[in-house]
Amino acid sequence: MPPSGQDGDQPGAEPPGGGADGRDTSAGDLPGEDDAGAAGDSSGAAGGADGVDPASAGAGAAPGLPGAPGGGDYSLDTLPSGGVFQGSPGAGQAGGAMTAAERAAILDGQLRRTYEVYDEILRREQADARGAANRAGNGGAGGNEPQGGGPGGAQQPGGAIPGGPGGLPNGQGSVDIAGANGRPGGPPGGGDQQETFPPPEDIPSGRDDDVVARQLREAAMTEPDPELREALWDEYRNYTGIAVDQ
Amino acid sequence: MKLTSLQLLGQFTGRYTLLCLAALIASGCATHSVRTTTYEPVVTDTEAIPEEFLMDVGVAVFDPGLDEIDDDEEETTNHQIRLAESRYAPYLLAETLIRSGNWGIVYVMPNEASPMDILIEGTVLQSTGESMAMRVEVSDATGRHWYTREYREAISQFSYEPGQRAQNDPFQVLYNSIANDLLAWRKANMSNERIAEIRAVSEMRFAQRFSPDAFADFLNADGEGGYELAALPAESDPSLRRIREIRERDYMFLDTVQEYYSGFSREMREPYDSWREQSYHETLALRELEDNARRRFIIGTAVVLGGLAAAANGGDYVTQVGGAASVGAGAYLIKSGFDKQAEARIHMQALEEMGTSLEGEVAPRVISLEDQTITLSGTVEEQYEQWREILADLYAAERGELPSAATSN
Repeated sequence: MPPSGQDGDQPGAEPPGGGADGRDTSAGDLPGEDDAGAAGDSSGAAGGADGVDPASAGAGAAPGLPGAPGGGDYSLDTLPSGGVFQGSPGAGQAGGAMTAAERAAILDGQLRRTYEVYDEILRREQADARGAANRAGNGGAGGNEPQGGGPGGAQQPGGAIPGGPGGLPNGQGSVDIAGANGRPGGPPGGGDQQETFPPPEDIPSGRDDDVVARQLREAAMTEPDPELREALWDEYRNYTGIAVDQ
Repeated sequence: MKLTSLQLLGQFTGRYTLLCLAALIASGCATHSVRTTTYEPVVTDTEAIPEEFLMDVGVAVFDPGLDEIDDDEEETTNHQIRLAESRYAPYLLAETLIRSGNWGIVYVMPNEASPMDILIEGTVLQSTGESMAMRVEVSDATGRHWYTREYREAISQFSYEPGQRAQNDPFQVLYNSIANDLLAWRKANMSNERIAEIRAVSEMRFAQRFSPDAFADFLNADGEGGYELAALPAESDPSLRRIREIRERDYMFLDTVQEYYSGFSREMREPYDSWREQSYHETLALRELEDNARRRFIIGTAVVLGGLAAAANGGDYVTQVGGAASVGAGAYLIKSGFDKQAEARIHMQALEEMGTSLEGEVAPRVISLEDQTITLSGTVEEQYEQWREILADLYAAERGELPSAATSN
């Protein structure tokens, strides 16, 4: 056991009971983060006032990525890198010596702030890529889609029931590997942006949808629960007269 | 008079050449390929697997196998299409594994940076629209090599029927076989304890990537790519919590990359399928003509030789006339062999042209896919570098090693 394990009981360094599964990444639940708020805020979101210049770093390696369009808040070029501890103006400037726990809390706070920016950027990039993938899928002749993982993906064997004369799987899902994986689509605490899920292979482009069909389609594409989503697609199929898969 | 064997052949040939010729042309020219249309479905484990024992699988971008193309296939193999296939095939395999429900998360891996419990590497050995072959190598996070196997599948026209195609890739059965073998191997060789160990090693490798100091003592590397678990951090260890938070974000990156691959595969599918179906017919026609031409050359040559012998040495008029006739028939066969060869050449050119046409469609998409992936990887890696710095500072702070000066400037 390395020393890192020794400080699990340090006040402020670890939320009580937190991290058991590593999935609870919601910001703001860190004891001590509030105490360090001033210091953290001064260095946080703007990120780049000091330390490594994110723009220059990003410009070198990732120019003009299609991600994060509009808004202007986040982009792959503006990942903050000024959040490293050394570059935090105000941190520790109160003059008093900081305890190890306080330092750790500040650093933890910085880490969490970088998560938020990263998450936002990746979410946008993912949504863009998904939109592009959907457009590519709809643009084709249709019906050529490889079978998707079925709702729920890996953890739900029901998504791949061998059947039919050819033993073809009955998975109704789409090609969306990412969405079909058993892992949550993104880190917890996902923001306000709605994820979209590509339509199953038998769903046409929707160009001729009427209002009701369009609403059903939109509801299905943004429904995170796979079972509910499939039910919505079934409803869409019934409404538009597409035969529901046997 | 004693007859030589050539003379005997000549006499025999002279009398029966015309009959044989008719029979050969009637029956010998057709090749019948019998192909199985049985479909091996992907198998889902009948035993429910607790989530903690579901292994995560990474499917590496395949090796296009350009170094392993046979000389006789070189002419009809388009390198750019192979490159595209080396991205398309792992995506289909990953999708098949997801559909099987036997595994945890399954990703096509854009690079080797993120350790997964199981890594599948592959090489495309052949892809003609009629048959596909690939070699698959499986290992786990501890560096243990599971197995290397070759998969080869020749399909029938049935696989290109619209109804069939709407449901599956024409070579889906090949991906199903790979997925089923993987499951069978895991069931035969992996205990839950071993799976837990592999998963822990995978997590510790990821942890060491970000916080090498804090996690240095948990893994022993054997220097040959193998890892052994030395200890495990406490679940309450804040360093472990942070690593898990970051790993979730690495998955987010991989999720995004899957979207790229999804878009690529969707864009590629239609022209690629169309090419494969045409390629299927052209390949069959080409092979049939080549076989046919070869047979005509062999038989024609034999008939000419026999005819010559009979004409030269025939004991009676009938034999000599028959010999002369068989020379003519043999010459005709040889000529028709050349004709068939010319026809085959046309099909080969058609295959090349079709390949060039598809190349024009898929090559830019491969470049675009690579651009997207490399750019995002680079950007993400910059963020990871910053996280490494913060984690190093955290490690130092929690050990009381971070100098106070560092906090003020």
